[in-house]
Amino acid sequence: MTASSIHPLNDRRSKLGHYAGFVSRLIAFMLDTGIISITIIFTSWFLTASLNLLQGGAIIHSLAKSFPLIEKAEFFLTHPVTHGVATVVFVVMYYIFFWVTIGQTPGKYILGLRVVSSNGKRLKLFQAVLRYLGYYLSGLPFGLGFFWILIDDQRRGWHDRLADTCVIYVWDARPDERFLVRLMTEILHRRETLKDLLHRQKQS
Amino acid sequence: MSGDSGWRSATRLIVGALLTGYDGLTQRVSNWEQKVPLSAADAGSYNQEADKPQLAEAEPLPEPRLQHMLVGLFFKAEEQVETYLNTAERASRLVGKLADLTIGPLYRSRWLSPLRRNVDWFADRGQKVVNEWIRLGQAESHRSRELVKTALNEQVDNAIDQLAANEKVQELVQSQSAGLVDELIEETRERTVSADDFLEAIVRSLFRRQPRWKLPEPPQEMIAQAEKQHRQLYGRSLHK
Repeated sequence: MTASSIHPLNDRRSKLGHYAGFVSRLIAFMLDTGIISITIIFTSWFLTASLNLLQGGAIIHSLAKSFPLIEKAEFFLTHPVTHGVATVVFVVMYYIFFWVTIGQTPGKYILGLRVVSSNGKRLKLFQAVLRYLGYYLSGLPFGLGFFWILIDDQRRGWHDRLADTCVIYVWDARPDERFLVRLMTEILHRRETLKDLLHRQKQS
Repeated sequence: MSGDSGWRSATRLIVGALLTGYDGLTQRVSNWEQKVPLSAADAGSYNQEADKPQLAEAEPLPEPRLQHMLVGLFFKAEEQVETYLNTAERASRLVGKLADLTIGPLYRSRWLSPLRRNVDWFADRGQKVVNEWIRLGQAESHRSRELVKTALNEQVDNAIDQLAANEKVQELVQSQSAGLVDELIEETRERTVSADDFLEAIVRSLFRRQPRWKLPEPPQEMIAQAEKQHRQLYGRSLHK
C-alpha cells in the first residue's frame, strides 16, 4: 500500500485492479438500467401478445367461473400490484444474481468493472443483498451516497461502505491522454469565454 | 433471341459494348471538361488568331515542353486535316459544276435516256439499301444497348451473390465487425477512465482533499486477483 507519487499526466501504468471512478460506474449503471427496461418492456409485450393470440384471457375467464381457485389466481396475476412486485423482484434478482455469480452486471462487463469484497474476493449473498439495499440509502438524500464516490479515498459509495465492497477495473485500464487534453482545452476555452462575457457586461 | 444466330448476338454485344462505352466516355469527358473551367485569364490554349501573339510572348510553363509540343502538334494536325477537307470539298464542288456544264447537256439528251434510266434505277436501289442499313442500325443499336445492360446487371448481381456466399468474405466481415466493436468498447473505456480521473480531481480539489496520485494504491492481493480474473474473463481479445 504505497502511494504511486507519479503525477496522473505522467502515469502510463495500467490501472488493472484499481478502484473504478464515478463516470465509469455511472455509465455502467445507465447501461444496466437500459437493459432492464428493455427486458421488462419486451417480456411484458410478449406475454400480453401471446395470451391475446391464444385467447388465454377468455379461457382463464371462463374457467374462473367454474373454479374459485382459478378466479383468485386470475385476480392475483392481473393485479397491477403483482406486476409492480414482479418488476422489483426481477430488478433485485438481476443485480444480486450477477454480483454473486460473476461479480459484474452486463453494464459493468462492458465497462470492464467488477464488484468485489474489500479483500478482493467474490461477493457473498448477504453482501450483495446489503449492497442492493444500500442503493436506496445512497439515492435517498439526492444521490449523495453515489456522489460520495468522488471524494472517497477508495472510491466507495455509501452502499459499498455498507456491504464492505468496492468496484475495481478488471481490464488494462489506461486513460486516453488526447481525450484528457481536449477536455481540458475545451474547459479552459469556455472559462476564458465566460470571463470575457462577464467583463463586457461589467463595462456596459 | 428466337431465330437469331449466335453470331448476331455476339455482334450485338460488341456493338452495344462499344456504344455504351462510347456514351460513358463521352459523358465522363464532358463532366471532366465542366470540372476544369477554362477562363480567359488562364488561357494557355490555342483558340483564336488573336491569341497567337500572346502565346508567342507567353512565359514558358513549368510542365515538360515536349508534352506541350505534342499536344500542340496534335491540334495543329487536326486543323490541317480540316483545312484539307474543306479544300477537297470545294474542289469536288467545282469539278461537279464543271462536269454538269460540260457533260450535263449530253447526259440529259434524248439519246442517252435508256442509260439515264438505268443509272437512276441503280441509284434508287442503292438508296434503298442504305435506308435498310439505317433502319437496321437504329433497331440493332437499341437492342444491343439493352442486351449489354442486361448482361452487365446480371453479372454484377452474380458477383455480389457469389461474394455474399463466400465463406472467407463472411469471415472477414464478421472479424471486421467484431474488431470494430472491440475497438469501440476499448475507446469508451479509455475515455471513461480519463473522465473518472478528471472529474475526481476537480471535486477533490474543491473539497481540499489529497489528489488521487498521492493516495496509497489498492492492496497487492486485490490487484493480483483482478489480473487473474482479467485473464479468465477476457482472455486475449481485450488484453493489450
